[in-house]
Amino acid sequence: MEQKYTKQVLLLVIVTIILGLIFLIPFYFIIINSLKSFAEILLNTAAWPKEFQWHNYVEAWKRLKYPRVFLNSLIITVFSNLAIVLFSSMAAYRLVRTPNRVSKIIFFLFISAMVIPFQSIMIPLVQVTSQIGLINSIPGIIIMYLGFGAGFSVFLYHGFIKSIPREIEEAAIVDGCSSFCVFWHIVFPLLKPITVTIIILNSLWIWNDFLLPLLVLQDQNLRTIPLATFFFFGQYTKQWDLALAALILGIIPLLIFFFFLQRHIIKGITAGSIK
Amino acid sequence: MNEQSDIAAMNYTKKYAFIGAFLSTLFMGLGQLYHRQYVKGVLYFLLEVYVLVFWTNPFMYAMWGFITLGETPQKRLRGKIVEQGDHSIFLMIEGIIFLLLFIIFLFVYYSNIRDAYKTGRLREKGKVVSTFKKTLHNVWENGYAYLLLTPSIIFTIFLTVLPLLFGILLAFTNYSGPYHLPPKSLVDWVGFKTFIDLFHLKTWSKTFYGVLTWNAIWAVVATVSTYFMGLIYAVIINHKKIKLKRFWRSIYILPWAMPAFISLLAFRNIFNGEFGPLNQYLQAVGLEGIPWLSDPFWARFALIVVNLWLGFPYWMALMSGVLTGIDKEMYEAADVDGASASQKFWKLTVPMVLFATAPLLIMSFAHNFNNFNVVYFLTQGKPVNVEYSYAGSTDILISWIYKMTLEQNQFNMAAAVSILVFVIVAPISIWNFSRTKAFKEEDMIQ
Repeated sequence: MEQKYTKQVLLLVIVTIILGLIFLIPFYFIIINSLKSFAEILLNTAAWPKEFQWHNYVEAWKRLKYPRVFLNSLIITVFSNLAIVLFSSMAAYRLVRTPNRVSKIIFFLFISAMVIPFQSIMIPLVQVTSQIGLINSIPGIIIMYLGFGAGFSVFLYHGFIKSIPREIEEAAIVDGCSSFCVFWHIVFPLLKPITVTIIILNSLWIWNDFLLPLLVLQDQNLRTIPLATFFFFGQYTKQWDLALAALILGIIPLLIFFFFLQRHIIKGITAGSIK
Repeated sequence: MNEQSDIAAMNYTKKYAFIGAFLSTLFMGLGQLYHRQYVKGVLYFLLEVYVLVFWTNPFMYAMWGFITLGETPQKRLRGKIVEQGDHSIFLMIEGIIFLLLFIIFLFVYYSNIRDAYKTGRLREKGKVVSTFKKTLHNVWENGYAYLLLTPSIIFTIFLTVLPLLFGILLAFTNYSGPYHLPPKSLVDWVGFKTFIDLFHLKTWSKTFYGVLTWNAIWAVVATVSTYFMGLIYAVIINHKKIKLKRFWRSIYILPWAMPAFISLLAFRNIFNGEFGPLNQYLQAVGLEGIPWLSDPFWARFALIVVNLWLGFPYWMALMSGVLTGIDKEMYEAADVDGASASQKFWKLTVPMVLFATAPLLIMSFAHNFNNFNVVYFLTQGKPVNVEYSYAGSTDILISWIYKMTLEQNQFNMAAAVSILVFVIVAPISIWNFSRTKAFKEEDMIQ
């Protein structure tokens, strides 16, 4: 009996490890081959590199204009997040605290904006936004992220604010706090958990977003990391050594972000799974 | 006696509300002037005068453009533009913007009438009509809330509602290459012709039904396969004898840490038929290489495998949460009753997990139905299918739409297909939202 049990466990451990290895194979290929010379890749893709070709990375870094695109990505992500959190928290707060027909209509508007698949409005969007001059500018794309992100964030805030008892605010009003003061000093600090979730979800989305920057940021100097990586990959599609090094450079910042905030991210994604 | 005077008063005073509303309908602000709310009345009056004087002509022009979509085509002489001509698409967008503004104006007009009516009712009851100062105070008290909302609303409207309306309307035009592309040539309204073509013209209908069928199969297989793979992994790493649970969990969520398209580009290389590692191995073992991305069947197979890799960690993370949440006592009770391991799994674990995650399964179906990234970055819809117009064998509707718009200038057909995709997916999303916390007051069972 005892022996059978350990056998089962051993089997289970082996299965776990094998499944894990199968899962990790793609990572192995990317990392290993990014450190080989091109001739070596053609010879054997799976072998360990004879000599680490670090200069692949140096070359990719230069040709990607890495600092430039990193900064673009950073600016877009940070300011879009600020705008989304600022506007959607206030919006959701007002919608929850003034329950009437107009609020319901507005809330419905936000939700219906979330339901629309991006690809089906993408072309009209480009035509409309180029007419109002939002194309090819970083502030322009930030405004667009606000427009696309507000619906979902309002939705998450809305659900959260509902659970905050009104009495706290009423007490503050009695103490002579104005409406703005109530929001910024009482309500907003209480929203911290959901704000963290919203920032993480939006950061992952905006940082990784590919289609919107592709459509909106045509100027080479405005490219974000995913966009630059994609074009680089297309350009050097036969030069795997550089292309794979560029892919890894594209992943690294997020990987770092990810390992620091792992627990929040898992929580956030499962909370945001309704999207 | 008393009753009579009441009725008389009613009959007499009823006119306040009625006359006020009537005057305000005639011209904004007249009702308010009649109620002796001079400042408000004059402001309303001036607003209508301003709109009539400055916006009538632009509005009429916009409506002309919206209805005709332009009348003068661009004229060229020896390749040079002699006359700019009308740009149908700009005229159309302008028309939509003016219509939206007109609706807002109508709303203001309506609130002016309602205000005159309400003030009239106040006078009927013999109450004091509020002064302008007080009105201003009221507006600030109740209205500033909506002031906070305006930025989000404006951006949402301009970025989603406006393009959506525009997209829907496009389906009813002939906006497509090569003959109807502004600014070179004009676009016209054609009614339901695009839809009729889509269903009855052989080149279109064959593509549509072919792509739709694969799209449906894809959505079902992709959802079910990731779901069960997630379940298997979750059960294994949550087994009480497995150590390093956190380590395994962190490994499996690695795909979240990178943009999907980067993993997909890497996979495109791995599956490459000529020099991809996968085929190198098959050949090393002595097997023939498989034309992964150039044969329709294998390309679809590759899509599903890659999607499995990308998609199961989500379910695994979700189900791990559910599994740790299951009451241990249930298993103990099952042990007492002498249940075997497989019985416990099928009769306890699976139903519990299914119960908690089934609604998300439907959401995931909707997501996979429109999973543009996987298709576009892995196969780009290829291999080419000669029987299809502008689509390949692995294209799903949304990637077909993308190709028609960005690569082929078939805007009207793309718009028509978008509407159909929307009709398929929207009910699922709406259903999903209607069962969430925001709509129901009671908390969900986690």
